[in-house]
Amino acid sequence: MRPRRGGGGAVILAPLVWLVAFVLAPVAIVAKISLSESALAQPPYRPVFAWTTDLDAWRAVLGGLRLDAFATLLGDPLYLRAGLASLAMAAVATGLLALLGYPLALALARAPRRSRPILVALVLVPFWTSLLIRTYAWIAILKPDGLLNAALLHLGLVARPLAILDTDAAVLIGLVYAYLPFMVLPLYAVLVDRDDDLLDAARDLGASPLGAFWTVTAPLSLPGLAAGALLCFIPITGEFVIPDLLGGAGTPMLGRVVWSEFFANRDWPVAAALSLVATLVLIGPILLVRAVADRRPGRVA
Amino acid sequence: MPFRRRPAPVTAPEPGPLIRFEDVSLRYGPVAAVDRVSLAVGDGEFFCLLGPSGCGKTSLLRMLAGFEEPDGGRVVLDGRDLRGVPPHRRPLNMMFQSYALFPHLSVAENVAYGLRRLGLPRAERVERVAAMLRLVRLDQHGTRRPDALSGGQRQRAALARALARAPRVLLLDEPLAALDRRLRSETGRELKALQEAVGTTFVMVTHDQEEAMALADRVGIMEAGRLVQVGTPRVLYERPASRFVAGFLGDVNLAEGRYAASPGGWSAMATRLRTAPLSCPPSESVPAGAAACLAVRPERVRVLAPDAPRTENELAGIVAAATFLGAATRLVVRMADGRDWSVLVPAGAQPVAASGPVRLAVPPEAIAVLPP
Amino acid sequence: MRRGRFTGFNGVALGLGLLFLWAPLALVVLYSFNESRLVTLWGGWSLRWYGALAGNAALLDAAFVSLKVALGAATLATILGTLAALALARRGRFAGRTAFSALLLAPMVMPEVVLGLSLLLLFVALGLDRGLLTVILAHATVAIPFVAAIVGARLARFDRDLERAAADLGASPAVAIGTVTLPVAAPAIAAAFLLAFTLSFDDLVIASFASGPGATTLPMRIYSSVRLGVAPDVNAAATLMITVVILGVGGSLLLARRR
Repeated sequence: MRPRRGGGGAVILAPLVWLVAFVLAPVAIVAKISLSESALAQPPYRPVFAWTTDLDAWRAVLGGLRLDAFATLLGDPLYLRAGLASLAMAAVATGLLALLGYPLALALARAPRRSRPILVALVLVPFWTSLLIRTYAWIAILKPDGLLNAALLHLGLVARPLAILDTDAAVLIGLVYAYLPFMVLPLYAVLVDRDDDLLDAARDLGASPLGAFWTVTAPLSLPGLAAGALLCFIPITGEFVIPDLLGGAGTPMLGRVVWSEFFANRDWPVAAALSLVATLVLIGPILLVRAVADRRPGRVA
Repeated sequence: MPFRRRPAPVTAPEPGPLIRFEDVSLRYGPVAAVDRVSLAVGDGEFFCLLGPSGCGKTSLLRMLAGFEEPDGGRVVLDGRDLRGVPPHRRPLNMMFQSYALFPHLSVAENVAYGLRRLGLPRAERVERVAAMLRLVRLDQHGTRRPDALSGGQRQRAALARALARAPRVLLLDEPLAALDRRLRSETGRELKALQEAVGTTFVMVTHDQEEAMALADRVGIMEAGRLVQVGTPRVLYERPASRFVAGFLGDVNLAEGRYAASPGGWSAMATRLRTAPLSCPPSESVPAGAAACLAVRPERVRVLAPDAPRTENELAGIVAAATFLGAATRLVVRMADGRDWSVLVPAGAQPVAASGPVRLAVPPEAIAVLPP
Repeated sequence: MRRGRFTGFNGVALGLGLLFLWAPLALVVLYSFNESRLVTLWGGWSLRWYGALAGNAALLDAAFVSLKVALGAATLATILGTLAALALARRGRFAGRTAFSALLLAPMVMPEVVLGLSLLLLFVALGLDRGLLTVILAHATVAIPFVAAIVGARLARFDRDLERAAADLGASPAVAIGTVTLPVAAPAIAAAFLLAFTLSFDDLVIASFASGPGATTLPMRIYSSVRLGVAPDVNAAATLMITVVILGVGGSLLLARRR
């Protein structure tokens, strides 16, 4: 009655087992450790319970659950500040990316057909090179005795070197630089599909070139803008490398805080609790991504 | 010729048709794509399923190929119920509308694909591939990729690939639809000649009535999931069983009326075309005294000279337009019941004025009486 | 007028955009040839830092570790991600489809720090010694969703009649996938492998959590020397890495053109 199915259940088994073992199980363990008490030991936490099927043991466990880690999160304003700072930084960076990425994507989409693959490759190649190295390059540019300040001093635009490195501005520059391809490519994909006849029709109906852009091109490119914004916003919120190398002590983004709780303070329960909270905060945007991703193939079919 | 008919089985020769659909239905949710179809196709026949898009003809073909399983009824091939037999175990091959040539394989490798699955020894396989490519005149193109072929060549490559396994039945899904108009009739003739040469049973699906009439031994016409009439192209054209069939196979002029049977001699149809009833052949599908519909092909309507003697089944009309078509002239004639008829006047016949009254005659044997 | 020409605005946008993207890389390359240790000072052309790089055994070891990790992780991720894409594309609506695709998407959207931390906690809970193997397992997990997305996109455009034709010509479902589906999707699978390789070769955060003694990857080594201050031989290493990437992307572009 239904169309025959190709492939057996075996195809799904291997990836399913893998994902359960290396995605689901670790998250469960994080949840478990976030409910434990920290200790000076190796590993540096005291498990509140061992995995068991014994019902009484579970009952005892429920009584002994420690919410200490979560209390720490609420009690110390550092964590709330880090969370808000991450979201704010991600929002500002995403806005800047949209402002800078749109003209670039538009220019790419309107370049001669023959040169488009090369131009797209020119946008992509920096993305394929190490993020660490690209961020490192910005240190050399932004530091007090770096190239930017040398140029500004040479031109007489500033009297003393500007302190850019180790500020939020440096982090923003680094984020925009690193995530620009993520914003440009989805936008380019929708803009390059544009139908010249639609623009001609808009012009024919009396729209100025700019009017045609606002009334036709811009609305049609909104899905690409949404996809690009989500592709940037979510990873930026959890970003570690860029704020760590370019930002100062005043930029306590979530990724850095988890990192230092874990590696420096060795407080595993707090790091785990913070991870859980960060993931929960991002679930909204993540569900949005899913909805967008699910709609994509449907539109083609 | 690389083809031999399969030797007839020594034990218990199977009498009757090669393919039987027995009361087959296929449903997508509440919609019946195929609705209780029964059909038999004989060995060596070139059978064509014809109908508008969405009529269920492709679903019927796909159930034969095994890509769909019927919800009800059964499909029998060579006396064997095909229920539960997966596509790769069915002794028939299909030529896809898109041709579905494997883009990563050369033409020769495409043709060899099915033979590899049979586990044929290499030498035999190579020989067979070469023979198939010769058969479809692609022996110079064996090493090319499908995307380097023209449309017609691709069609022939797909044909060679489907025929390479010497299937009991070749299924063709709109085999000419992807070709441009000029190539279509030529390729159609080749297809017909090939079928006659190899003797394989062909079951073809098309929406193009000219194609079906030109190629098929017999045609089955489908409408909304049902098989409405099966017959040779001539029977379907001359003796359609319904207004749908009459209208689907070319142009037809219709007139509603009441049918009066008379045993022996001509029966009669009372219409608003004229006061006296028209003589017509006895109808097989309409009971005496019932409402009926009269159908006449445009080329069967004769135009009478103004001074011709009175003729049987004579009708009066007014020419509204005349279009010169080359081999004929098409008249649009306003009839007494208010309808426009189409009348084909062959070139060389007496010219007719492009407007004004005209005398027409319909030979009784040219009339088909159909249910209303 | 609009159809494919560099107009003033577009030309400026392209020029500035590409300058922004490429200038830092160009500086890294330039300063890898600088005799001076200082960024602001041009001490003349020199291969001094390439010599220093050749003598930096720790960095070379780390590069070798990264190569092994990236090969292993990309291979695993390509196999598993392709299987996942096949399952999603070919099995229609199966029970738990939504849960499966959510699980598949999770490593792509979870913050790296969180994913790294949870994998580390898993390895500790399992009593697995951290080293090369754990980094490979972690990187494969990160890359699986990316592979599944790329291969899945190709399979979504795949003409299902090709598989039906294979079945019609006598191929069982498994044979049809092996002889038709996978070969036709091969370019996408190769691209997915490359991406998985790059993700692994590039990653600092996940590796820092998942790795242990004796399995220091190149980004981990570079990170620590960058944190310590100016390290001109990192410029040399970076230049080599950039060259490899440009040659790779340029080569694949040329190949795509010739087709």
